[in-house]
Amino acid sequence: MLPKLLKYFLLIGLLFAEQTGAQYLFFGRNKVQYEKFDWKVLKTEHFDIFYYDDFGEIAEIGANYAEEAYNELKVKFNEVVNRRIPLIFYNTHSHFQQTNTIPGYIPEGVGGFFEFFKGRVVIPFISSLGQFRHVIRHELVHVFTVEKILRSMEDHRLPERGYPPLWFVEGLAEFWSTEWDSQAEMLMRDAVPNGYYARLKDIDAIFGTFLMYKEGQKFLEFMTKEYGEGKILELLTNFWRFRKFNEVMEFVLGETIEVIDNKWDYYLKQEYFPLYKEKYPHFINSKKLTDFGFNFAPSYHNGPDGKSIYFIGNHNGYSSVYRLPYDENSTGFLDPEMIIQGEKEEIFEAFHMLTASLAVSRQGLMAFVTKAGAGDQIHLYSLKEKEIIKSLKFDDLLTLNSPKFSENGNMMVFFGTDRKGYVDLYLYELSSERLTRLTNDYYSDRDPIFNKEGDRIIFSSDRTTGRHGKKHNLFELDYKTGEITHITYAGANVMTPHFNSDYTRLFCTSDYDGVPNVWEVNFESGVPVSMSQTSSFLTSVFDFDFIDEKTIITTAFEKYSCQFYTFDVNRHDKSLAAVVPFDFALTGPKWVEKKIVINPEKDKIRYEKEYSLDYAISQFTVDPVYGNRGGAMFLLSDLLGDDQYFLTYYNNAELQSSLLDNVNISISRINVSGRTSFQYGIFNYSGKRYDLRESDQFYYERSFGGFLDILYPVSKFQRIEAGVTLANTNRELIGDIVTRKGYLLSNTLSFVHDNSLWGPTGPIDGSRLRVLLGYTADIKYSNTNYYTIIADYRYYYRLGLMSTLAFRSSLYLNDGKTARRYIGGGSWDLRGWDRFSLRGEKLWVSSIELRFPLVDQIYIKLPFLGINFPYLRGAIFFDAGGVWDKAYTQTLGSIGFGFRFNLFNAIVFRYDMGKKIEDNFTKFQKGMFYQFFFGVDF
Amino acid sequence: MRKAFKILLPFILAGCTQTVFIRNLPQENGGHLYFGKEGGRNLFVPVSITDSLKLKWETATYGSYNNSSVIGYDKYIITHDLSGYIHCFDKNEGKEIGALNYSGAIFSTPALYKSRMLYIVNNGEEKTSTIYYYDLKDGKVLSKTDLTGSFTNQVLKNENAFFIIGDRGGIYKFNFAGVLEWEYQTGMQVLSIPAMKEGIIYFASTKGELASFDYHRKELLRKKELGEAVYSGIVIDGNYGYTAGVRGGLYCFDLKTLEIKWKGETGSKAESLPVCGPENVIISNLSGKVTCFNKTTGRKIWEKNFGGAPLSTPLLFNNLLVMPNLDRYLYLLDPIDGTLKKRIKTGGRMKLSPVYMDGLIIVGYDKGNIGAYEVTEEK
Repeated sequence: MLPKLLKYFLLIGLLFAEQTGAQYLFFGRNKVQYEKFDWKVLKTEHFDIFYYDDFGEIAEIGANYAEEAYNELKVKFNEVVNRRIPLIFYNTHSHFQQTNTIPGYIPEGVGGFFEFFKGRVVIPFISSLGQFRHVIRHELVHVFTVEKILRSMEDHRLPERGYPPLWFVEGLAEFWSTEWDSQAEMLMRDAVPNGYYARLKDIDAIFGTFLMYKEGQKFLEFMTKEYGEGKILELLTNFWRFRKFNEVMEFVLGETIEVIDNKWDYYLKQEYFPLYKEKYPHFINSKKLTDFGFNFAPSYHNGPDGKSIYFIGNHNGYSSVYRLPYDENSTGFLDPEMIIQGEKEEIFEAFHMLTASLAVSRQGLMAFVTKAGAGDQIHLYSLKEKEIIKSLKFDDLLTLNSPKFSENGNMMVFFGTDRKGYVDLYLYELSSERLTRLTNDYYSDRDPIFNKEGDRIIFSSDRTTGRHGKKHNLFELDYKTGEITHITYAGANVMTPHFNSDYTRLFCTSDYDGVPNVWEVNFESGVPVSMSQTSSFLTSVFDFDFIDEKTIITTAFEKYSCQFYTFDVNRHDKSLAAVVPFDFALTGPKWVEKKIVINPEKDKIRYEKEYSLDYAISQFTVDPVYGNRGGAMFLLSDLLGDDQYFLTYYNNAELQSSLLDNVNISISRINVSGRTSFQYGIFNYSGKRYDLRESDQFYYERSFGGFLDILYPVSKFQRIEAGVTLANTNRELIGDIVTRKGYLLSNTLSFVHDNSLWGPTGPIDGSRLRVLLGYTADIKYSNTNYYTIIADYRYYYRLGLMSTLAFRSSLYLNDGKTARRYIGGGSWDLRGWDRFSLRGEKLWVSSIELRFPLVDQIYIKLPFLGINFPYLRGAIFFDAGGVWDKAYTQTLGSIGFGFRFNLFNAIVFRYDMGKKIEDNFTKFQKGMFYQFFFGVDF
Repeated sequence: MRKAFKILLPFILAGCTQTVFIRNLPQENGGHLYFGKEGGRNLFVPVSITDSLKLKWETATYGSYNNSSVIGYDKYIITHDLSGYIHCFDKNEGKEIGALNYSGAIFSTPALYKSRMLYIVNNGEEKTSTIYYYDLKDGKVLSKTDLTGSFTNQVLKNENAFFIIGDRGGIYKFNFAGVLEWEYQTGMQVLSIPAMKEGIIYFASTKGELASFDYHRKELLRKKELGEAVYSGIVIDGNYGYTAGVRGGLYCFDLKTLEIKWKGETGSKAESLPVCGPENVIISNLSGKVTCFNKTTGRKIWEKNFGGAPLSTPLLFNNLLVMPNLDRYLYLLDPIDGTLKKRIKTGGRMKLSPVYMDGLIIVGYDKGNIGAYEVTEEK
């Protein structure tokens, strides 16, 4: 089992920047509102807590965590937050992904966030109360940090100058929200000996990674030991004094950054290098089976395809199910075969990679879990038939995890989360298709397996009582009587139980010595008495499975990746093996988590929308050509972000008398609360115009009317859009007496598909499609009457991890009376041709482009600090296309190569050079063209 | 626009400020001349007042405050702020008389000697602070001394000199001509308020060391480990000193030996000073708890939690404890049993320790506001 927080960051690391959701954009994936939530509000002393449906009990516990954290943090920060803090809880991560508090699609990797506009904290409930408490505390540290910095700058009457660097901010959030745990220890045990941790001078190199969080936390541990815990607060209270955080650190700690950095480096080495004396890396005592990508949930089976290991892996940016041939005598790495391609269609929308979400029965049935739409599904795949024979979805279960089969293959046990947020065990009988709930409480029950007879379940749970209360230990459930008894009782987390192949020995993982290693439970006369360490790996074993009675395959963390090894459980050096005896006399009554005490009449209310301003901007300029121009933009939304009002105003009147003739205003409402989202509004645009699409005409136009757009996401990858606009337009050509009036009614219907995977400068895998049909008519004067067809398809064929052959085929067509023109030319379509120089009612473009990495990182080393410029990419391209009005004129083209550069993940710059293909595609231009522009790849 | 206004505002205000210039300042014969009024720092006023506080005036400084206070003399009130300003107000009307402005922040309450004022500017973008000695009559700086590090503690004064302890533990003596006579490096980090009695300065460090320093002999006399860092400060009452630690301990120690006479538990970090009444000592901590101990035996008399986070030191009268709180309220408590008599909502987080002068309680709160509450003394 890998704790959730790590999961998030590993996924971020390997999935690159996933394209964000894109309602009302040309392409883009969808944030689907699968369900409509019945929101309620819990009012505590300092928080407004938003929750829905049956989550009340966990919300009340979470409210108590929040109040506890508030009272602790106000002391640590010497600060109070006097505004009420909105805390929005979601039952599960899949519901959290539907939040409208921030735009865009939230990847699997995000475990909560603090949002600045309205100061909202948004948190999903994941896996356990302990984890929930940690995330609440983590986000509240952010709330207090921001408050402290802003207040401090305001106290000193200084302008805002941002915040401390992210490594410090996130490190602090971890340091003051949780203990140093096994995932943090695992990471540092891997990073320090392998030399990939960042020194202070190079800390930007790990920006945004999970390592940054944990290194930041470790640094603060070092700082408090070396300089005193009060230094943390001093860093914040002295933030006003210097513009650079390094100067603040030097001032507060009283030493130069070089000295601090050297001490920090020594501190890490002193702690981690001696571990080699008694612990060993995975490549010692084990045989490595994989050397690429991220690999999880191995399950061994000797079936129709021979000895095989089935697993979930990410080898190309998409998570998928793979089969790895197993040959104990092989000396090299065998190539895995992809069995199920994930993350390209709704049914396999995402895999829960880091929980053991795949298992194979002895009879050759493979069960694996995917997120599919609103919740999870367990798919049963026949290894013999090589097809999915059944997909299981349970209405009241929002997540499903860790399926395991009984020895006879007739039953399956798994754990899941219900609408209350309870993480409990479930039994599914395959023949009768009957689902039975085995536990029902807020303790986190997980990793269930059957005993040999199939009448008992062994599982891990935080229901541990007494001295080691709330630690995960192993329990046995007699599901016929409901009796639950301790198997292990340790002051450490004990998880992922597995019997060996003949059920004579019970193994598990435990973080007793700092990181999860393999342990064996010892029995005397059938009674568990102790557990003894079977492996002493330096870093974690997440999960394992037995190949035979003594050989296991482990998911091992090494060099910031997860690889498979085989390991002989009898080979461990007994002198290094710790033994932990179980003293069951120390157990006690069930622990009960405190809930917030509230007045249900007054403090528990139904959510009612209250709107507040998200942002407002305005600008006034004096332009030598167009004269004075001014405008403003406002966005209001409710606290959950479901309902938004958008107002724009713009005026470019040159004279006071023409003020009313140049009013541009639009008001729209966007509602994204349901699966079908819509926006509607009214507008009035008037003023002087120059339309690139027309024939170099300046004109005055007044256009007013209304519009309605409706969007229905079929899945995360596909949607249907419909829109209608009615506009009364009145155009007067400047310098002419000609006017054109019209009541234009436009209707469009579109289908959009996008399952592309993005690299740093654009898509590298998957495909994108938009098909649009439209009709525009002047319903009063019949001056305009044309139809529109847009068909734009892009396909990305992966050549390697970061190399792609990209294809584009696009047709844009308006045909009829006074049809609008399209514009083309430039870096985004027909390269080499001047930007927007090609105009016509019809336009087609086709491109082939080879995208490949040039330089992954350019690191400019300055005397102390360095600047990291990642992601320089290359492209070789060929474009062809044409534009015309009534009769086709000529085919144009270009060929060349270029560079792409992603600057701080904010903007992509493009520089292309090559030759145009001119004269109806018959000859190359003389010389070369050179084009510099911005924008992502098509 | 708002951003531009924010940027321009300091220039506009700086352009409007006038030099503090007080022509007819009387000779020193009273007043509240530095933080705590006297070396023992005990914010106890041996009078009884009614709890019907009435806001007489409100005025504004430019920046906000830390745990410090205004000073006052005759009809003047002088205060500092974290944006580098010194302000002088008319005590009766709240009208600004003048202001001085520096680039940096002023944490320590200025200290007055006759018409001369010592104040410390923590310079922005620099690792130094500057000690200014200013003549209020002539409106000019008499001397300025640059010292390394921050100075956030409170100035001490005896009959012939000012004493300052820097955050890095340096003790500095400035004579009344504004000249630095000597300095002594203790090697301790001091972020709490020192006190003084009979030629001895008492202070505590962030490593939990309690220390006494003889300023005549320029000698560190004693050190005592408390076992917890101190960010509060020291209050002297009789032959004993009182201080509070970061883990919630309240210590009563013998001034001569520094031996701990008793230790009480409050449960959380205190930034404010304890305050001693005739029989009891009262301390507020950042968890919002106010605790009263018998100052002789250390027996806990009462304990109440009012929430919020009292950052600055309360003011104790015979019959009323006036406690500022970051939750924007000014609490009026009965010192006998901690009963809340009244709480008054102010415009912001209460920062300054209240000061009582001539029937007025002067408080300070965000964002740079000073308020004067009229009180009636009970016979």
